Amino acid sequence: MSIVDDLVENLIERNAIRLNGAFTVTLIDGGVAVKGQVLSTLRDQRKNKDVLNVNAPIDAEMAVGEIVIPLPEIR
Amino acid sequence: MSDVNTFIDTIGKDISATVSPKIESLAERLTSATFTQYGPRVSAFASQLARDVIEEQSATIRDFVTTVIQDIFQRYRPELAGELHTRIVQGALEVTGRNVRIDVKRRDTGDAVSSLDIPVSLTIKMDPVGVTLKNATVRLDVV
Repeated sequence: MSIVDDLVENLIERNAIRLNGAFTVTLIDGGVAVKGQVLSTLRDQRKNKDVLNVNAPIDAEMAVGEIVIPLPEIR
Repeated sequence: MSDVNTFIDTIGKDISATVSPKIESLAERLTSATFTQYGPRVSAFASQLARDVIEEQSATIRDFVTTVIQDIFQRYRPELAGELHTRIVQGALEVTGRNVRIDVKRRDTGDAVSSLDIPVSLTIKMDPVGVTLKNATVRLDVV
């Protein structure tokens, strides 16, 4: 295993991401809207220390087209 | 000497005074007896008759209805046709039907006998959904 592999492995496996926050999912005309805020904290588990805080506001809209449901046949 | 009319009138008055009360009394007794004695018997007879008719004819009616239903379903076939179109609108889900109908067809020939259009238009209100993340931890492992 290379030094890079060891480095990546240590960096990834020793860290954990903790998520906090709240968001709401609402139906809007023609789709779905998500609004809120998520606070991510990257924590070094070996040192028990927070390394990085990310405060991410969410304001997204997803378009959903018309869904056609054919009626089932009765036999 | 009284004339014929006076004679008849006098007899009539006497009959009214003496016989009529007796007839009224007889009528009252008959009425009373009918209500107290014959009425319940007629009622009991009618109830028993109805019970007998139902008991004896229920099997016939059941067989008849069963046969009719079997004949109808053997002869006709219902078919549901059409589409439901669903779209998202502000705060709700809208469902509308297009060409939704029940067709009744002959099983042997497939010919349509009758068709019933079913209008469908629904609006299902949906409140916003709140999602809260409380210390959700994401751990990564190298594979």
